[in-house]
Amino acid sequence: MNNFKDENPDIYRLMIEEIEDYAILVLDERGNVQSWNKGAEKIKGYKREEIIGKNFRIFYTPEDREKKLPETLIEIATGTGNAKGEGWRMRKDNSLFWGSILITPIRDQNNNIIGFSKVTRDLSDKKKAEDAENALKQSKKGLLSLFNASPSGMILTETTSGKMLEVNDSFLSTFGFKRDECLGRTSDELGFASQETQLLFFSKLKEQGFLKNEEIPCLNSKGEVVHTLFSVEPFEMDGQPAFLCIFNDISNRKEMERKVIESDRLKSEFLASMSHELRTPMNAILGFSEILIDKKVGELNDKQLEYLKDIHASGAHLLQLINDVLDLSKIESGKKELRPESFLLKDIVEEIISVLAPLAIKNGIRIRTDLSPEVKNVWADKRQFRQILYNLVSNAIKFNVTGGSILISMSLSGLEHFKLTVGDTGIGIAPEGLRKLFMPFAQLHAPSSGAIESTGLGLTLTKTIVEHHHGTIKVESIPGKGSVFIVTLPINTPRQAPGHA
Amino acid sequence: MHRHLQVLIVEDNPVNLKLTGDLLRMDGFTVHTCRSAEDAIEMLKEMLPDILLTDIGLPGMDGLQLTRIMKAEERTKGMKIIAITAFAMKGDSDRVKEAGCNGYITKPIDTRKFTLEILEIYNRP
Repeated sequence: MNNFKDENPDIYRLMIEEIEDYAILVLDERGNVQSWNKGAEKIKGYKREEIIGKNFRIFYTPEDREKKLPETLIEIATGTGNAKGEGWRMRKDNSLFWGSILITPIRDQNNNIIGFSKVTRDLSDKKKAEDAENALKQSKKGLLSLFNASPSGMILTETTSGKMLEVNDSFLSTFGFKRDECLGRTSDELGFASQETQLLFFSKLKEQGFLKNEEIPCLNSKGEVVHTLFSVEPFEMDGQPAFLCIFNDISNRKEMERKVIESDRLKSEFLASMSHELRTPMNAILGFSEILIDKKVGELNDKQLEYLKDIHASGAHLLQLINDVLDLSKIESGKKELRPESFLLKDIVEEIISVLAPLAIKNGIRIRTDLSPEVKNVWADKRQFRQILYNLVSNAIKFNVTGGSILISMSLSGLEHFKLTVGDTGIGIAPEGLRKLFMPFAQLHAPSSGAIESTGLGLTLTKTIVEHHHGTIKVESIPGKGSVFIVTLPINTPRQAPGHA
Repeated sequence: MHRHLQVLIVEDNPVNLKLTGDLLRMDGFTVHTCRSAEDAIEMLKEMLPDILLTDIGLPGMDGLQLTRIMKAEERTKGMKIIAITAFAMKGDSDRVKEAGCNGYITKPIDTRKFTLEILEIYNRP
């Protein structure tokens, strides 16, 4: 070639100038462009007339220029005879291409460097393909480590045969299998999912293409049941369709649920029998003291009568306490079912007033009502609603002053709720009392004890019932002036009470 | 008119038995008592009171089962049966009616109304 080149320099130059796949250029010793071929124009985008004389640094990105990469390459070429490299280079339009370069010094007869030849290939397509492949490898590697590190048990199975292609550590530890006994076998052969279960899930899988958190019992290597949430996603593994099966062990949750149900059952059984056992002696205490008070078995002196009445009142108090505790426990454990029915609110108000009127009269308290005709029928548990009103009105009597009054009012609150307020002109509640008002046994001192002994559970029970009905209760009070209790309840109580499974 | 009514009370608790028995005696009933459903079945072979007053929670056979047996028998099915219940358990009132009781009285009893309640149930058609 040397001979050909030396003998035919023009033809040789022409050949180089015509090459399109390589940018071949000559730089002077300072790196300024001296010659430019078609390939250079095609790859780098500059025309000959606009690039001749410009420094070759222009082909490098600003970052590479900052790092003095062009100067370094020249130094290397000078020192070692050539400089090779690959990297992102800049075209005229600032777009980037992946260039593979070779820089070689050109020397004169005295071996002095008079310039450099520079050959550049555009390997962008190759680079992109490599990058894509690397990215794929990376993502597969990432996916695999995700697969292995997942706390959920996972297996990859062949779509048609169901044979396991891959299993993760969580799967192995959850079910107690070894990797070797899983790979290449089906879950049926392994014995961890019955054929029945599999058929069921395959039909569903066929129908919707995936499974999401289906609850299934599986068997571990010892044949014990493991409750799992099972999901299946279609997946591609090395171009082959596969299923990614995910198992979440919910045995603990299942066991806890079972325990909660069991302890709930034991609690209500205990409450029922306790209530029964406590009422039996109460029957005798109340009954015999009543007989004596009524003088059915003979005359009594004043002291005897007084003490007997004390026994009877204490017994009645104790009974009320038993009933309140029982009601509260039942409601709180969600056992006391709401039995909603349709009834006229006005009727309940009148009923409660007639029941409590004797006590009100005895204490010199007047009961007034302000019932909006808009509030008619409601859908609620009548017995519990009666209890709410009874508790509030009897409190209003107990904590009132002689000659005071009570106002029971009822009105619509929006379209779906009604508001019931019970206001009194009583002693009121101090701010520190307000905070504890609905807590069990937070009793306030009542001035006129009347016939009602309080249990300290009335308002706690009232609040629980109101909330059970999806309502709210609040209280406003001015000490020395009175209090008003405001209950807001839905006109139609939702059928399902909170806490019901 | 109730002064000569015969009543059999079935109640395992002796103090409560004394209470209901004494109350009814004071009002002129002829009172027979026993402490279990099994004893009641034996006694009812020999006698047929106007009213059977039974507690529900009894050791052994309970008051509801006793009621079912009596209501199934031609000779005893006309006898008025009144249950005494503590209403401790949900659905007690339904169970009482289903068993065939003519009525029920809740515990603790109100001594001032007890006889009247018994008579009201007895006189129901």
